Amino acid sequence: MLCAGLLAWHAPIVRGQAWRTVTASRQRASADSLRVRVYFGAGTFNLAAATTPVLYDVDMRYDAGRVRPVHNYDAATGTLTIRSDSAIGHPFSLDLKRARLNINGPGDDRNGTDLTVGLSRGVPLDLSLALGACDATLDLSTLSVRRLQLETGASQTTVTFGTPNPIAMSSLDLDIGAAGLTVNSLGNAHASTVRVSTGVGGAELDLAGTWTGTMNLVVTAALGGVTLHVPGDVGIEARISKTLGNLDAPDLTERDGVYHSANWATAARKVVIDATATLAGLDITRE
Amino acid sequence: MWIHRPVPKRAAFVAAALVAAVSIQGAQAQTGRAPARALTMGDSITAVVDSLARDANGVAIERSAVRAGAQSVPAGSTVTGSIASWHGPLDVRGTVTGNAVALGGDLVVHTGGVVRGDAVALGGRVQLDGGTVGGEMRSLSALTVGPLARAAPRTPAQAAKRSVSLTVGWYLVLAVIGLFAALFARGNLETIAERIRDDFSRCFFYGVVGEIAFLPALVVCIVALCITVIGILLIPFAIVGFLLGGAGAVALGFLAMSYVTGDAAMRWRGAVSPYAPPPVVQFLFIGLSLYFVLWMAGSLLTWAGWLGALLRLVAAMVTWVAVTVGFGATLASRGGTRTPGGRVPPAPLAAPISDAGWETPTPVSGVAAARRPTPPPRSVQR
Repeated sequence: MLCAGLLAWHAPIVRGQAWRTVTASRQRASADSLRVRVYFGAGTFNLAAATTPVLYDVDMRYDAGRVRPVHNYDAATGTLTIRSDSAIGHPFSLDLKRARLNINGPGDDRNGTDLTVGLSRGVPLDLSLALGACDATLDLSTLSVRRLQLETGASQTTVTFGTPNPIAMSSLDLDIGAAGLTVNSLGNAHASTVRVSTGVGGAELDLAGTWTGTMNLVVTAALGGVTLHVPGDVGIEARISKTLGNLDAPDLTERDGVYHSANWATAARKVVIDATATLAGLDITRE
Repeated sequence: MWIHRPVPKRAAFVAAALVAAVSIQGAQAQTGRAPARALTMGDSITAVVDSLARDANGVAIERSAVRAGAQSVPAGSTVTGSIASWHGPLDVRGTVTGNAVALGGDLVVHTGGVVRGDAVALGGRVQLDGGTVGGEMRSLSALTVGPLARAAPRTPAQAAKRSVSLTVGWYLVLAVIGLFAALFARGNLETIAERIRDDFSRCFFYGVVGEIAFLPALVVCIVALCITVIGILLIPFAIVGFLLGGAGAVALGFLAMSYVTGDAAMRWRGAVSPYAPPPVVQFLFIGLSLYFVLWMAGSLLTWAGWLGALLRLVAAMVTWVAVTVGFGATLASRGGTRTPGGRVPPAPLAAPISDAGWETPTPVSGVAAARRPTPPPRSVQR
């Protein structure tokens, strides 16, 4: 009751929600590449090709009382940094400066904070994305992605390579925490090596798409599960290290500790899987 | 004589519906998306310029660069430095060597127009109509920092709704806790209440001391655990346990105080039977409701300025005294396990012991009881 009293006493001055929108874009001018660093806490995050001919286009909608968005472009290094820091703690925070108590209901940060980033089509991109607890959709179709590093906490993330990547990817690292990851048409990524690390969450990788030669896929799964959908014409070689884990790959046969598909020797394109599963499952299915 | 007066069911239903409606409206008011505060003509230009400079997404411009109304940079002309319009659009057809800012309007960079710095619109949009912007194009719906960035204050009705919903919510929570306490800790509750009746002022004193010493006691506890080295691992559990224990003592004490208050109120009305056992739940809820009425009055009059504030102050003081007395009584009675004389509350009567059945009642006047038969000494047995 005493607490109720204090709260009721301060009720008229307790902060309400204050929604803001910020849009920022920059003309491409002479930029020949773009590094993008995103640190996004909670909400909805979308990344895709920009609809207008700009270097980048950022659109953010947020509650100014809860989120402090910051974006910065360093022309010297061609780096765009976007942060959405939490403005206050959870579940209660005492603002001594303004002498008031902020009350944050559970899940409030998931309520409406939207970040949409559009990127230039013709510019080589280095993407480094750290996502907290959000729903993220990365549509990398028509973009030229040179590098992608994705770290997620409890985010449900979908990555789509709808069209073949015009340039080769030097690295593609996907580090998944406690939620899920779905990658569509990973074969279009044009990456010689793909590294996927999953924690409690699971990952579903669709290797459809256009690629030639050999793709190396390094999978580290702990507690979660990883499902690989491999096109039928792709030859598969898999080296699996299991610790209380299991492998479900009915189309593969084991020889000397290495699993191969029937078309391994004759396939025009191949995938070499190096997987470590600890208390996790690995499923390999043929499409 | 105890008079049982049941609450009419219809009234109870209406009250419950009212409570639910108020709670829902309060919740809606909380989750509703308040629009950002827009710029107004009454805002100080200096304040806006200052806030915009401090905003992470803003831009720094000089106060002297701001001109009221619609502004235009004609084709072929050059503005050295920045230019800003105040509550009007800004059209750029020439060249701006610094930043171009529209405060409360749209910014349009037309064909042939060049902005070498940033193009920013606060409360409007930046439109690129064939021009060139060397920096960034930003559209901000409102300021994020500074005095003008604060959300529009709640209306008196919204503030009252929120205050009422909080009060009702706490009342319901305490009512549920009180019901459990009356059902499962009735003995403790009555013992604490007895302690309050026995020595109100001492309980208040103990309560104040307990409130002051609470945090230092926690610190001492942590330090003691640190000294033992092994106890360091127990510190998180100790902190949680200590806080839970404190919250439990406060809650139990306040419920006991509510029980005493309800009892006193009913005695004042002459509605308590000296022969029937006290209806604990009823007294408890009557006491809680009396405190609730105080808070409700303060909440309903939130719109009334100083009168509402005064009522809330009175409610807060009364509640604090009740909480403090209850807390003190809980400490003094060790959670309701000790009666006022320091005696342990009598255990429920057990069945008479068979070998004591020979005893005769001893009146106060002193009739000698029969001597308890004892076995003869061993020497006699021999």
